[in-house]
This record gives sequence, structure tokens and C-alpha cells, in this order.
Amino acid sequence: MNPPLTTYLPALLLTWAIELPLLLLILRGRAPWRRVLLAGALGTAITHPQLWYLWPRFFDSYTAYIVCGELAVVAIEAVVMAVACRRHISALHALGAVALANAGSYAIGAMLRGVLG
Amino acid sequence: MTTTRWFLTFAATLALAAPALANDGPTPREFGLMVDGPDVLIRLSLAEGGEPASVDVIREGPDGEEHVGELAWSATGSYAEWVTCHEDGTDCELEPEYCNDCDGDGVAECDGWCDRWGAFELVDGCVPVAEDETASYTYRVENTQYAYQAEATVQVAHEDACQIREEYDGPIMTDGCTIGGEADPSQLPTRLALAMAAIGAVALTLGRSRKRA
Repeated sequence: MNPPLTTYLPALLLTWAIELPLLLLILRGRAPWRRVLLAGALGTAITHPQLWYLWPRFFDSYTAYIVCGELAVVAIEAVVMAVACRRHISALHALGAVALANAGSYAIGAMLRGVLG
Repeated sequence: MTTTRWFLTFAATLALAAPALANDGPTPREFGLMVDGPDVLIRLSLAEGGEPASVDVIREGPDGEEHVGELAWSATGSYAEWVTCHEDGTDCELEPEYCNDCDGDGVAECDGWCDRWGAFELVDGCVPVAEDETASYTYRVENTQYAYQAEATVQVAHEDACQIREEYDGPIMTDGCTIGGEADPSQLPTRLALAMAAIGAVALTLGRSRKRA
């Protein structure tokens, strides 16, 4: 039983809304903002549906799923960011920015769930 | 785009999306639904005379029935357990062989049979949640004197826990039966977010020092 699009799409929107400004903030002055925006949006567009619809099939434990899933998301998005901005930032910079942005989106998402749910 | 515009766009999107309780992944409950599938058939098998009973948890999925666990219903394993007398009108002085000792004091004072009751906990995930956050369970109770089947409605009481909200006039006390998930939502997000933030901070610091070098 997969989550419906009415649940998924707001989650994707929220993730973009949190992560893209964070990425722009962290990489401000280091890489062109259009590239950062494009790479951030593309990275999330690649990983988000996988995290929601594909990876749960490989795990029985929620803890294992969310920990492995989030770390894999960071790794994939870092590669996308590093490739897109390879002339401007190092791979470590890309990894750092993406990890911080994902930490922010995960923390805010969990906080909203705790406050509203 | 100016900083103010970005902030306004961010705030507006956040406000629109927040009611969906979105996150960077499905919630534990949504995950449970995806992984564990549809309804669970719970079979209760009660033994008489103080013997521990067992609960077979059987999931009815697209591939048929799947045995997902067995729970011992004992004094230590259940929340509560008690025995009541199901009165049958037997005269215990005339027909003592038809009377039972339900409370274990050595006196067969029950003029019928002993009903074992219990409130128990299932450790299976909270799987059978419909859109209205309820689900239907089937309880099948068998012992030497009767077979009993009942439906129970389960309501989601917590992120990953279900609470049976209806009582049934039968040998099973369903009120208080909970189904708990494995993840503790209060602990996991903080730790995971901190871990990701730490990875990010270390990577940025290393990236800067390499650039300087």
C-alpha cells in the first residue's frame, strides 16, 4: 500500500521549500545560485520518490529504513550537487551543504509532525 | 530573486505544505502500511484451568495468510489477566462435577464455566489502518467448550500504536489491546538530524581546510 499523491506531493514541496533556501544560504558566494537551485531541485526530485516508494520495500524496520534512506539521499544528492557545481565547489563542500540541508528538512519535517500531529 | 522574495516563497510553501505533516520520508505509520500490508487476522486460543493461552497473529495479505507471530498470554506477558464465572445455573451441591473453581481457591463455586479474560499487547506493527484511521480485526477464540469469533474495531491512538476502542460481550476483553510499532518517534528524528548535521559540518570544515592548503 503506497502513500497517495495527496500525501506525497506536499511532502516533496515541503522538502524543496526547506532544502533549497538552505542550500542557497550555505553555498552563497561559492557557486552560482541558479546551479545550486537546479542541482538541489534535481537531487531531491531523484531521491525523494525513491525514499518514499522504492526503499521501504527493502526494509522491515522503520529505523533501519529511515537511517539508511536518509544517508543514501545525502550521498546521491551530494553527487548531483558536486557534478553540477564542479567548477565552483569541491565534492566535500557539496556533501557538507547537502547533508546540512537534509538535516534541516528532516528536523523541520519531524518537528512539524510532532507539533501538528 | 531577492532575499525577501525567497523568504516569502519559502514561508508560503511551508504554510501550504505543513498540514500534510510532510517529512523527508514516510512516517512510521505510512512505512508500516507499505511494508506490512493490509489487515491482520488475530487468532486467540485460550486454554482452561490456568494454562497459558497463546495468540497467533496471522496477516491476510494478497498471497494468502502469513503467520507473523505468536504471543503467549500469561500473567507476565499480558497487561492483565483474570477469570470470571460464566454462570450456568447449575446447582453446585447437587451436581458438583459441573461446577468449576475459577479463582483457584480449591472450592468449585462457579455454577458454569470459567471465562478467562485479558488485556494484552501485540508487538506486531500497526498495519491495518484505513483512511479513517480504523481497522477491523477478527478474533477467533477456541477452547474445549466453545468456539467464538468476533470483530473488533481498532483506532489509531498514536503515531504507531493502535487502540481497540470497543468492548465485546464475549470471552475476550478487547479494550486496552494495543499494537505498538518498533520505532520511537520521539528519539529517532533528533539523533538522525544531528548525525546528518554533523556529517555536513565536518565535510564543510574539511572542504575549507583543503581549499586553504
